[in-house]
Amino acid sequence: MQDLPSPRPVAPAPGSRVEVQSQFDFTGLRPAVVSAGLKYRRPKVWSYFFEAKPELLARKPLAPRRAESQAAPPSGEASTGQAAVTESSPPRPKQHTRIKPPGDVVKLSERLFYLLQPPLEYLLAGNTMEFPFEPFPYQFSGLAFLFPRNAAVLADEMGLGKTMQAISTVRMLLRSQQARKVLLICPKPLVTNWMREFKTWAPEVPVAPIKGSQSTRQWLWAADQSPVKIANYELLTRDQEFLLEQEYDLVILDEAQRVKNADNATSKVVRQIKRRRSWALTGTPVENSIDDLVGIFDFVSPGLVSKGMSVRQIRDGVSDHILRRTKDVVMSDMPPKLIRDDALDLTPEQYESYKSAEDSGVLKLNALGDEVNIKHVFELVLRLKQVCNFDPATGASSKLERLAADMEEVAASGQKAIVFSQWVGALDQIAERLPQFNPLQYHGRIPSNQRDGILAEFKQNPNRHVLLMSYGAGSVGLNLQFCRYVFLFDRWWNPAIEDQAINRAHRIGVSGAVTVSRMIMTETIEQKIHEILEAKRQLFREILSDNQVPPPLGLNPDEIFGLFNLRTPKGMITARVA
Amino acid sequence: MLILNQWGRPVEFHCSAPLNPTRTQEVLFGTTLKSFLFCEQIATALLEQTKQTPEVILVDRLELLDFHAQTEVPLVLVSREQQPLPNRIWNGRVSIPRSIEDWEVIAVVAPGSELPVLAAIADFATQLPLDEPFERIRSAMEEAHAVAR
Repeated sequence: MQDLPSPRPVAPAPGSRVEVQSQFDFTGLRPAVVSAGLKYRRPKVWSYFFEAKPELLARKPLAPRRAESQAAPPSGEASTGQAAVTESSPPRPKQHTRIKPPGDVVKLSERLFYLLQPPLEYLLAGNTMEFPFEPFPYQFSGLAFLFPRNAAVLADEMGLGKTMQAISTVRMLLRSQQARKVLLICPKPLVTNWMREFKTWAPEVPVAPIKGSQSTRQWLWAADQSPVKIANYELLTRDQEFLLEQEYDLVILDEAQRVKNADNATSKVVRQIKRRRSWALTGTPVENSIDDLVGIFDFVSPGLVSKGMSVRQIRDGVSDHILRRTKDVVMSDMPPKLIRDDALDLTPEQYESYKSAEDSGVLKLNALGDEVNIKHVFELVLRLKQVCNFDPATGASSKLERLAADMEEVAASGQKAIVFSQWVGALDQIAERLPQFNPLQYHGRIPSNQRDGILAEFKQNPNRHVLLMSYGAGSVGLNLQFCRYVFLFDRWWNPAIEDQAINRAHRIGVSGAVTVSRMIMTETIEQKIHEILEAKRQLFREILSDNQVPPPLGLNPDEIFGLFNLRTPKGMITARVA
Repeated sequence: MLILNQWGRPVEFHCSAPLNPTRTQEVLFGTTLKSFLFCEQIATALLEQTKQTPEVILVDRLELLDFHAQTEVPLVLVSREQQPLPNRIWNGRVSIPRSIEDWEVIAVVAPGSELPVLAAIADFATQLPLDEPFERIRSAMEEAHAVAR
């Protein structure tokens, strides 16, 4: 058998002169090796670290390790048995409300901070931040809206709990130390209401109302350490010197429509307050014109929008900063509000007085010619409206007769009613002539320190069936949801104010349908005003809708003069109806 | 990777650039590719960047259980449905399936340490749905991608 040649070349023996020629040469036949790159370079990683802030809540952390008695099966055994579960699991929230970063937060790390928070329901379900009542889902959304925002307008319809949402968010900010100094500014009559609401919704938060003598107030502004201070609009200009020395983490304006006019003294002071966050609460961000909203945003986010911008520009500019919900959307299960227009005829005595006043008034206006202005017209309107309430000579009143009849029914059913008028004098007359219903009065002439007592008496005394309120004193911030009837004895110029009045009763917690009776004397100035108010109400809805461009708002001079079929005189009349 | 404190609040967040395997790698890694990418590449890179060592790592994908080879930290797979127990020898680890609240979990832990791990998970589940943090990660990733675009 022939030996197989060596597959490798044989090297000659050292010193040999004989060269052996190999029969087979495999040199160069090694296969080429191709190596596939299977190794990856580690991917680039972006890291974000979040500041360890105090917890929003003193929640129980995850419990320490379980006792052996609750043990899982012995180690190494696979089992499908039930693991140790806490004995009494709290009810799990059904909804997840997430805090979304506002549009003006640009840095990714800050946006992620909000996105990576647990849902609000879980943040708030701690053991120490308890709510006296379970908030509604839309209220959680309100908290999630306010919490991350430096500039925010909460414009929920009256009665949806703006107060609770603001207080709860303030509570969260204080607990997380994102705010340490908060200033809340509200109308004077509402200070006690806010104090009460803080006690209800944030009982552990010290709150200091700014009041008292000048020296006391100076001390409160400068030295009081309460994290929340409550001041009223009326004293801002007086205390400007002390107020502007301070710096706040958050300033909240309640009933922020008070600063819609950027030129008034209060607005100017408010805009100068040094602050990091600015929130506004209002149920009526647009009372008369889109400029009202611009005025509010002059405080909330100066420069964001300005007068002269188109409605669409303004809407786009503010959309990330404003949240408005209406009852019909978020409270579909809330009892209805039944609006009833009571069209009444003047009594003969009223009719005589009315015609006389109207005729003489119109004659006077015509006689003024080009000198006539809005003020003249208003004077006549007010006089005629007063006649629609009561005949000045005899006191005859169709409205009072109707009110008395309705109140019989209200009282007989054990219910309570609120009657609104713009005149204290009219309220006095009603009180005098309806003693059988034990009326109480709540208006500007009632001292502030007596008002809470009056409301408590009205609520608690079953024999007090009617509360007589002026629009000015009773239209905002009061919770009278135990009343099922509201009477608008006369009409206010602005439908938003009327809505605020109505919503004293028709708000969260109302136990049944609320009936609102709007008294309107037919073929009088009241009927004409009613028609204009209805048109304004429609415009308000359009401005705050998403899809429609609203037309201009307000009673323009032509409309006002049109009340008496007067033409607009030559020359520009710039006064607006407020 | 989202690291939460005991109250479920974020402490650290780490995310990686996307990885795109080549065709060759797909062929050669075969069915183990996902496990390789998720565990040896991405998860390992993320864990290296953390300042705090997590007590437990929750995962929502079966493939990520292989991460146990790269870390000593107990791993817990969270799922709404029962997962088939992977047919695999866990080197020095045990895999324990359990039902906790509404979730099916598989814990991969060192023998003897399953009790505290499962108890911690059960406690956590009473405060937050176990799959909830993954929602946060997803929305954070969407946000990060939107910014990157």
